[in-house]
Amino acid sequence: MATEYSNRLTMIVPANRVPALNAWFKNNIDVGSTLDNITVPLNVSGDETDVPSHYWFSGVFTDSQMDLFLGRLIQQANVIPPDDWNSRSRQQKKDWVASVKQSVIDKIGVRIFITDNIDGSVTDNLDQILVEHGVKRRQKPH
Amino acid sequence: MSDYIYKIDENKSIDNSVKLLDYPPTRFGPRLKYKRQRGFRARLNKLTCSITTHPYYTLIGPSVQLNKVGATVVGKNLTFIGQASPLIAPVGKTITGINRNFFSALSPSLLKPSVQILGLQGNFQFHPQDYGSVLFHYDPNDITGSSPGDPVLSLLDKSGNGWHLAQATTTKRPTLVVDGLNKLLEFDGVDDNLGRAHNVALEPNPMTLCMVLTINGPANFAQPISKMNGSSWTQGWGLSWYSADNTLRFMLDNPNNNNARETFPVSNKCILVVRYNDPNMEIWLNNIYGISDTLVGGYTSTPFNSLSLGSGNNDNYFWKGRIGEIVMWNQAINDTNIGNIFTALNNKWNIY
Repeated sequence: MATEYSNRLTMIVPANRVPALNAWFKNNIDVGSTLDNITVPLNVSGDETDVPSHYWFSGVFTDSQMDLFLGRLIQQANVIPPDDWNSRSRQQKKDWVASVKQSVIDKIGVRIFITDNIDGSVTDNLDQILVEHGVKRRQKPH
Repeated sequence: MSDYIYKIDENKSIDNSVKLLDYPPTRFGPRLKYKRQRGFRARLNKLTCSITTHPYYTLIGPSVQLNKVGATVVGKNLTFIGQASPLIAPVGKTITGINRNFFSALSPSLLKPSVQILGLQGNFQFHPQDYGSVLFHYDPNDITGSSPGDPVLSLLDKSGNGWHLAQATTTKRPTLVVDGLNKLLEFDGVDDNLGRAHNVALEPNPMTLCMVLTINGPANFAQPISKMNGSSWTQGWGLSWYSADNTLRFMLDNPNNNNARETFPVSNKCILVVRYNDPNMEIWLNNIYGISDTLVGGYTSTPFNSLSLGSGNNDNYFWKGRIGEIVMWNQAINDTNIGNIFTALNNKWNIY
């Protein structure tokens, strides 16, 4: 049976927006949970002694969860969705999100990627995503 | 289907796991039996036979029994080849497409029958307790009720010691992937991991650890498993991939001074075994011995850090790749059995 979690969402979020987004996840995705979904810090230097400027996360979502999330994102970024949103296919929705990606970045600083999750394989070029946003994983030099 | 194909002939051993023995001929022909070797047990998924001379024979295996032409196959599929279309008998069903005429056509002689096994496809089970005292044993093959792509909530410890791993946060769960006959967990390299709370029992000395895993290349450091303190890495044990020199390192207390390491091929599924027997730290990758190191006096216990699968212990060093079976023994497994472990895991996971 095919997975219901047919979407993979990867997102880079400015640090100042993380608390509100974590609260949203607790109210809509992990209902009743006290644990944060977005916890992995990033910054420009990649040195863990420097303050995180962004956080990122990646997870798989059902179509209804993805619609819920995109609705929130659209609201935050004040981007006007197409009139026929509810009747659009998943691919059409992905294409639309890709078309407004830069606008969302400009308005709320959030970089979002949606890919198919067919068999669990993760094919995102994560390092390229980080380079595009100008941030690095925070690690301790060894 | 599996890639586990073994070309075997009657009465000849095919590998270390399955041996075809000759039994005293009956009136109608020889009886053949598979002997299971210590270390793991064959679970046949499919057996391919060509009956070359005689319609009557007995073939007894761990899951296949065929007594005569048109007999019932017990347990698993049995495929007869040599016809225009292979006949496949579903589990527990009767083969109906083979009759005496078919065999007679192959050979009119009924005097000296033989059975030739042309191919064997099996999923070989790995029993780590055959090699020593197991501390924990995780195998994604045990995950049931999930489809490929589903997030995985937990991974149960099948050692009986109860060291189960879990991830409470939905978006941080690894996903299930299927590779041939086996299942693995895919970690996204961003925030996926499974873990459990600290217990000093999870820091054995001596220790032997084996893992089936792949990496798809996050920059700098990434940890497939860790019982170390945060990002400092000054206490405990763990593994880390280091992109600068493309090595996988077995670390105790300190990643720079105390590590055994071996070059780790990106995107290729590998079997890793590491062993610590004070003072020796050793590593094998696909049964190739790597660069060893020494650590005198044992390593330092972490006072509270969790056991983490798919990352380090402080929201860092996330693993981007797949992890299959994992076993920790709380003893130093000897060299002979390390070789046996590689053989058994390779038979099961079909890696090299």
